Amino acid sequence: MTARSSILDRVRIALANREVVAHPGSFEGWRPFMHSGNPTEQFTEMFEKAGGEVVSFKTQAEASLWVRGFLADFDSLSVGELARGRLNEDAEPDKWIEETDPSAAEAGASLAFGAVAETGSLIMTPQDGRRAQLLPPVHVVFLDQAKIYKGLSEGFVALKNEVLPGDNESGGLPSAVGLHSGPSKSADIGQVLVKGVHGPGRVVAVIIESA
Amino acid sequence: MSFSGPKHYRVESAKSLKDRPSVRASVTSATDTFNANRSDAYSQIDSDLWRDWARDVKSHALTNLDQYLEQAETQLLANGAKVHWADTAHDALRLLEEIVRDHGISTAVKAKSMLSEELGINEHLEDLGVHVRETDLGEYIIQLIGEPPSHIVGPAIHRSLEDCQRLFHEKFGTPLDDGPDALAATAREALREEFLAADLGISGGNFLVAETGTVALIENEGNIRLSTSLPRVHIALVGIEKIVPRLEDVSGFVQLTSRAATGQPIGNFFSLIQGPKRDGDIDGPEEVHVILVDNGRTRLLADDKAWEALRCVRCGACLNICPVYRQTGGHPYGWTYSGPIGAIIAPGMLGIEEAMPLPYASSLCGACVDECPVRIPIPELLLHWREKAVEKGLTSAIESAGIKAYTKAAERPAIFRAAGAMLRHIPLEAGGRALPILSDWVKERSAPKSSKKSFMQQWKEGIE
Repeated sequence: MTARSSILDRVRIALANREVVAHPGSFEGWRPFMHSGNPTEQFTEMFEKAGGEVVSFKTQAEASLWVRGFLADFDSLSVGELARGRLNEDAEPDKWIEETDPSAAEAGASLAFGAVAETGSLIMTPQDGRRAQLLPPVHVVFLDQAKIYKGLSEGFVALKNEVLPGDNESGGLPSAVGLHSGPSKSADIGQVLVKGVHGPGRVVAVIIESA
Repeated sequence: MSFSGPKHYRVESAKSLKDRPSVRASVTSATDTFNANRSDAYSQIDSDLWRDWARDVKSHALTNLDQYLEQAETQLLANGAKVHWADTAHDALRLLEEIVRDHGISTAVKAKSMLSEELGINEHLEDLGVHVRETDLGEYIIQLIGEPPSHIVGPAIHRSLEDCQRLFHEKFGTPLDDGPDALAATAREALREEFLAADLGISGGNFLVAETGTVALIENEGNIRLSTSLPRVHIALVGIEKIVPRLEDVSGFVQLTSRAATGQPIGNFFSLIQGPKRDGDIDGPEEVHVILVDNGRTRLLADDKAWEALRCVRCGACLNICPVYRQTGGHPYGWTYSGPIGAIIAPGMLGIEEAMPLPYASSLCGACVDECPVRIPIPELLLHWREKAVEKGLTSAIESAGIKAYTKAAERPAIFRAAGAMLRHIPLEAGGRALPILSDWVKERSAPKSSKKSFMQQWKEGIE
């Protein structure tokens, strides 16, 4: 007998006379949202409270200009695959950026799939490159305001509905999704809060109001 | 270092209190912070409604567990992950060994996982010649010291800043007055190299979503994302009770668990892992293996009352609020899961004989049940296991005889009065030392003085 069948058998025997409990229904079904403001305001409030930074621009061109200026202060940079187009948009086709591997970069730029207002989370997908999202100590993330979803469930639905490169034809979720809701932190040493333990210690969300 | 089992709980607790007072100070300070943060986080939501909802989702999943496990397996396979089933810790270690051999693994990075502690993963990997490194900062510290975690969420809360300063000074030659920031930077640098070099990443799983075949992981440091993204092989060890039916359920559970554990609205990093790297992905593991582990869980599920303990999301709230746990931290419990939750799952998973005396490691104050995010009736289950212990004759003969004698005396007023009068005249301090049970109690405490008059006498004369 395989472990699979012996485990499932034991589960069935244990449940034979157990009353089945009904699912109480959708988490978003009964619950009021905690924030009365619009999703962008709530995202900003939550993300900043968790130690993240937020800047906002009317257009992609303004946002790109700001990010290029921000990144200019660092000696080595890595750029996520999805962020590449955003960085260079409306810019001279120059060679202003010399890219390094994320493991050696001081700062990294990414494009978020979207964000969740209620929890203040950036939704990061593997099409951008996981290493670029995790290894540089400073992480700058483009975010389209139109893709700030009210709750996690809405964000999940959006992820399932959008077919990303490499997804199953039927859509579904990407191979892995990371929600980044602030900088890397730990209080494991003497219960003192420390930022930037493994992931980025500084994370900046760059909101583009009109996509 | 691994645990030696719960049977030495009393001796180890006494030892900890006597020989290592800093443990009590560190644990108390850390749990005070956890409690204040959780209390604040609960107050921001309608926590009663959230917890009722969470209780029912988990109970629903557990009472349909066979179907959801099969659904999760089907989805994971469709996502390209590999699924394994382990009856026991031994099975899980054998599966791990096969994967290690098949892929020529020589280095592994580990994200914090209590299940991996339960199974003894590190020791086994080392026996296989695999260099294994814990990457959660707290886990890293205790791995360097060579001790097991003392708390589900904060594995090193029993260690003070000074302990860490001394440890890093010995291991890395850092100055003894390095602050937490500098120490964390030293750890980051050392661990970064290990992340980049590792062949294998090992994680647990906070939730396993049946609908989508998703392993969901909550954290704050980013070490779980790194462990599950960088190495070419990822193994997720998941207890079979971690199932939730739908991805939508995770929206509630990640928020409630984060609030209960650390008082955050959500952990700063939350991973949803469906399977290995796909064609359009830039990077990620080539293989994802999910090992579904029983190791005593179906035994607990079979108990008509205690099965409810399988709803546990391992937030540690019951440890933090427990006046007994706070005195010693987790080590004296002698098992991976300490505190109130450990005391009620140990008898179900290990057997009551093995778990003694953990059901007694509680004052039954009930503080835990008020905090539990999935409303596990912990005090009721402690009593449930105590009843089982009595049925099986596992309690001390002296205690049983004492309770029987008390029952007899309490039924006869004349004898009850006479016994009371006698006890009032024995000096507790000296007399106690000669008596069983009491002698343990007065060893480290000063006994109160008896009243000259009985309660009945005082009542008749009029109590002020």
